[in-house]
Amino acid sequence: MSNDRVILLVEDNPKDEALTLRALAKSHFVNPIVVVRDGVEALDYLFARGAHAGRDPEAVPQIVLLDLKLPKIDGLEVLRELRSNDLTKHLPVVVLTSSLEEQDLITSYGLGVNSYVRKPVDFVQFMESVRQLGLYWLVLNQAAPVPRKS
Amino acid sequence: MMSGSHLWIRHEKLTLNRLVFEADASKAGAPPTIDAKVGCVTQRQGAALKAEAKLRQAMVASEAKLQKAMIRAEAKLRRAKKPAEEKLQQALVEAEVKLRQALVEADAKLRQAEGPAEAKVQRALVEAEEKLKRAAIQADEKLRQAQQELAYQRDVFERFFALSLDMMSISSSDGYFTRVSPSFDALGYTHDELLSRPALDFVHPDDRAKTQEQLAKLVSGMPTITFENRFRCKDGSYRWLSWVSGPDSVGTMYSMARDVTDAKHKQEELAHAKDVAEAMNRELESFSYSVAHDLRSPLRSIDGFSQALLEDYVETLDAEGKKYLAFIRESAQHMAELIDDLLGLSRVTRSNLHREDVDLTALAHAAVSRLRRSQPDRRVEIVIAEGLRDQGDSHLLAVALDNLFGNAWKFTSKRLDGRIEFGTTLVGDRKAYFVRDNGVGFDMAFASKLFGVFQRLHTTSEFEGTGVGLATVQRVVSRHDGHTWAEAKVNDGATFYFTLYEKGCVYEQR
Repeated sequence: MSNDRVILLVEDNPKDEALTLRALAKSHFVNPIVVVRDGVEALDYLFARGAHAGRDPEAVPQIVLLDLKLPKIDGLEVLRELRSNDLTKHLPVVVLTSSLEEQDLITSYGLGVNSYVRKPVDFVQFMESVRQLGLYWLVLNQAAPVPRKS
Repeated sequence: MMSGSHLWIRHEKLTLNRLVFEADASKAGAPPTIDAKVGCVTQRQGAALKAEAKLRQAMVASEAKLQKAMIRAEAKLRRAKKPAEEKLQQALVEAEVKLRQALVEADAKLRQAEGPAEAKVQRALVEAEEKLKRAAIQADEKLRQAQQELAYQRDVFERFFALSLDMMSISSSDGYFTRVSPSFDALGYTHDELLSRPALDFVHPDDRAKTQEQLAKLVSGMPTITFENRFRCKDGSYRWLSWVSGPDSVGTMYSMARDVTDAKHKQEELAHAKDVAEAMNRELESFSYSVAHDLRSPLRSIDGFSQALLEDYVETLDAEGKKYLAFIRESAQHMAELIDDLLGLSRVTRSNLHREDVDLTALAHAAVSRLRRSQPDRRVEIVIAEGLRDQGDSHLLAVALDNLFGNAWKFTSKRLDGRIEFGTTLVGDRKAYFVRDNGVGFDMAFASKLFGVFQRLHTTSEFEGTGVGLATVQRVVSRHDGHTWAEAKVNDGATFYFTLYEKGCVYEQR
């Protein structure tokens, strides 16, 4: 149960970003939040390369909130990449998306997503969803330990 | 009367006695023993001799007796013979006389009968002759009629042959046309040109093998065959002809051909149009998916930031301002519902219909469970008929029942004793399913608007809803070739009926 590990928010829509951040704040979660706006940046951050080359790759996020509709590389591709890397294989990923299409659900779970949550239109509901997500993944859930290179 | 046999027996007896005696005598004639009893022996010999003599005497006597008896018997026989012979002669004579008499009588009778019998025969002959004459006349008449009929039939045949729109032909067993109807003119040949070459020559080279294959079937005993081939016209173009052919017992072929070139083109066009429609359908599917998805996002913003304003700027906003923001939020949420419902409706239209066995009772129970879970505090009496099974797409029918039960649930919400019933009934001669509730009902005057998209008969303040539910039900039922309709009274409940796979009811996608 650590409050210092990062929440990685992968979201291209600035409005959704603002609303999610607001919801997290209202729920009093104090983890640092990093926002990346497309699939490429998400992977760059996670593998500490490109614009995020200076980062310690072993400092993996506590949780990744992943939108599916992203420019450049979409959410499912990001998921596929992180599940195929030892460092990020066990990283908790919650897909947070407008889509309830069966195919997206099937593919996401097939690729090893931990949770799939639909973004409701009603903001009050959205707030509640974020609060519950946070409570579970940031407080209750035990994340896998980071693989250490010895 | 002493019979001969009797005499013989006695004779035999005597012979036997003689033999016994002889045996005894031989015994007695045993060589005498040199004994003192010589005298006995001599006595015995003397006795034996005496006995022998006696016996010989007896034998002679009996033989004489026998002969006498035999003579007497013969005489008797002769005496008897004569009268018996005479009697037999007499009987024979009498019999001859009787026979001659009978013959004479029979002859006389025959001559008696002959006369009238002959007359009868004559009469019969005359009658027979007359009958024959009459029959001959009738036969003549019938023949004349038959000939007329034949001429008429031929005439009829000739007329139809000449008029026929389809091409009619007769060909010989060696594959040449021997007669073709005027409708062959459409191909551009003269009559003689068509008869001058084997019929197969006119067939497109690629189709000849198939045509010959079919013709071979006739040889193996099939009564008629059908086949299609391309027939070359005078101008070199080809027309598709659909043939029906059948031979008679001597191998002459009778055929009819129809020009199906246009029909074939239409078929190709139809297949092509179907492909286009399916491609468009797929495009539409991905379009509506992304539209729905993309529309939700801005709605979330509208709702979210309205709420943010309400929360974060609560001091700067007056009551009116708060009310406006609440309206904005409500509208955004309502729009989201509309999008979801429309997406659902379009999925009903687009999806493939899988026809299978469906347990409607189970689907109804599932719909009710969902409703009860959404509002666990409501008490509603629900009656679902058992064992309702039918054919259809279980997913689509589940959607329809969800909508119907959802409506019934909603419109009974103002009663504490809400009741919903699901079952079947006979309407006329067809089986219909119904969902009945004792809720708020509606005015039948507006029944025609019930199933329209977005059409509502109540305000949103009375009952929430988008007006797409019944449109969805109607579309599902239509896709199952059925009908939907409703009956209601204001404040006295409503009943919604639907049928599935009604004969003569075919869904056309508009």
